[in-house]
Amino acid sequence: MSVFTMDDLRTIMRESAGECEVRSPGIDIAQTSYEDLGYDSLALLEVTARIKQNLGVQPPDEAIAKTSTPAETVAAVNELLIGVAA
Amino acid sequence: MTRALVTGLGVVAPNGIGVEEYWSATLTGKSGLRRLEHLEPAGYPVRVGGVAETFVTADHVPARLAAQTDRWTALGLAAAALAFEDAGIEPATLPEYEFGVVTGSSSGGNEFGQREIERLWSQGPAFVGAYQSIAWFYAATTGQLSIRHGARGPCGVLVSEQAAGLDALAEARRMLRTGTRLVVSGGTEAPLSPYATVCQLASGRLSTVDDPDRCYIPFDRAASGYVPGEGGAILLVESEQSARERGARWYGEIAGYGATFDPRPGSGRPPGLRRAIELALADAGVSAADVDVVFADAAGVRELDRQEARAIGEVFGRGRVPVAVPKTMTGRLYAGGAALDVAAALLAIRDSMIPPAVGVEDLAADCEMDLVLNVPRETRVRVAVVLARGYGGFNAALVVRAVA
Repeated sequence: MSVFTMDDLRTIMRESAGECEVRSPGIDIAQTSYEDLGYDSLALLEVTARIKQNLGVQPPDEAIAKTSTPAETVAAVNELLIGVAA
Repeated sequence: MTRALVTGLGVVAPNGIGVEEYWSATLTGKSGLRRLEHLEPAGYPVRVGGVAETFVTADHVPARLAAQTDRWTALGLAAAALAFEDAGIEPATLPEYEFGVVTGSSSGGNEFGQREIERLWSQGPAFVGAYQSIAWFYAATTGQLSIRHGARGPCGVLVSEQAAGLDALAEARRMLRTGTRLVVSGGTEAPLSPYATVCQLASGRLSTVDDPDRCYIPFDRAASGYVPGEGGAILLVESEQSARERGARWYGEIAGYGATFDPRPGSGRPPGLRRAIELALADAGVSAADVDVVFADAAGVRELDRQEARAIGEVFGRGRVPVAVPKTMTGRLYAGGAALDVAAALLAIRDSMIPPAVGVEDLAADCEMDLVLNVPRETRVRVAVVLARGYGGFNAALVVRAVA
C-alpha cells in the first residue's frame, strides 16, 4: 500500500497554493503551524481537495481540516490510507 | 476641506511598465497594440489588442499570491508596489485605520474563472479550485491590496466599465474627507482571455480590423470600433495634510468630479456626458476657458465619437481645447483605462507636454476638434479634464489640477 510522505505534501502545497513564505534554513516546516507558514483556510481546502484527487481517498471533511501542521496532515493521511487498506 | 493630492503613480501598460517607461513610450508614439496571437488561429473576429508583453507575474507577485489571484489582480498588485516606491512610502508605516483602498473593476478574474469553468465541465465540481471563490470577483484586487499592505480603513470597488477608474478616484477623494489619510486607487484590467473576448464581442463595439495601425482610430472617418488592452494605473490619493507632514512631493490635485447616467434609449433626451463635464468643472470651481487639455474617452465607434465631439464642442467650443488620446497606443483598458488617462494627465501637467494620439489620419467632419496628433505638444498644462464612458450608460469626468 502507498505511503504519503512529507515530500508528497510539500509538492501538493506548492502546486495548489504556492511556495511557503518561510525561508529560514533552520525552520522545520513539518512542525510549523500552517498559520505561521502563511497558509489560510482556503489554502488548506485546496490542499485537501488535491489529496483526495491524487490518492482517491474520501476522508471525512474534518480529518484533514483539523490538522494544524504539515506533520499532522501527513500522519492523518497515512491513517486514512491504512484504514482504506484494512 | 482637505485637498486630495496624488502623491504616487504606478503604471502597467501595453507600452511600458512603470511611469517613466510608459510616458517616454507614449511621448514617442510607441504603440503597444499587437496581433492577439493567443487567439489565433481560432478565428475570433477581434485580432488586435494591447498586450503588456513584458509583464511576468512572477517578477512582481510572490507565488503564494499568484496561486490565488487572476492576472488582473497581479497587474494591480504590481502597479501599487510601483506607486508606493514612486511615493517613497513604506505601507507598513501608515496608520492602518487611516489607510484605505478603492479600485475600479470591470471583467474581474475572467482568465482564472475560465480555467475553473473548464475544470468544472471537463473533470467535475471536485476539481474546481478553492481559490475560485476569491479570485474572480470584482473586489479581489481591492481585497488583496488591503491584506497585503495592512489597509484597514475604508475599502471598496466601483464597477462601471471604462468609467470605473474615475468613479474610484472620486470615491478615494470622498474617503479623505472622513479622516482617511491615504487611499490606494485607480484600477487595472486583464480582458484578453478567450472568455472575456467573447463577452466583449457581444457589445458590437470591437474593431475587427487586423492592422494594429488602423484598428483603433477614434474620431477618424474610418473609425471601426476599438480594441481592448490590459493594464492600468494605481494612484496614491493622499490628504494634503498627510502629504505635507511627510514632506512629500505630489503630481497634482483631484479637483473635481461629475458622473451621470445616460437616458433610456428612445427617450429623446441627450446623452449624459456633457452634463458630467459641467458638473466636474463646477465641482472644481474652474471655467471651460481654464482647461488646458481634455483626455477623451474615445470609443472609436462613429456614433459615440460624434456624441463625444459634440459634448466637448458644446462645453469648450469647437476646436478650442486640445484633445489627447494616448489610449490609441494601448487600446481601451476598461477599469484600467481612465486611471491610466489620469496618470497621463498628471504627467502632462508635470512636463508641460500633451501626449499625442497615433493612427488617426482623417478626422470625421462631425468630429472637428484640436486633436494632438503623432507628436507631443509642448504647452503649459495646469488644468486637465479626463472623460470616460462605460458600456451601459456610465459617464464620468474628472478634473486634475497643478498644485504649487
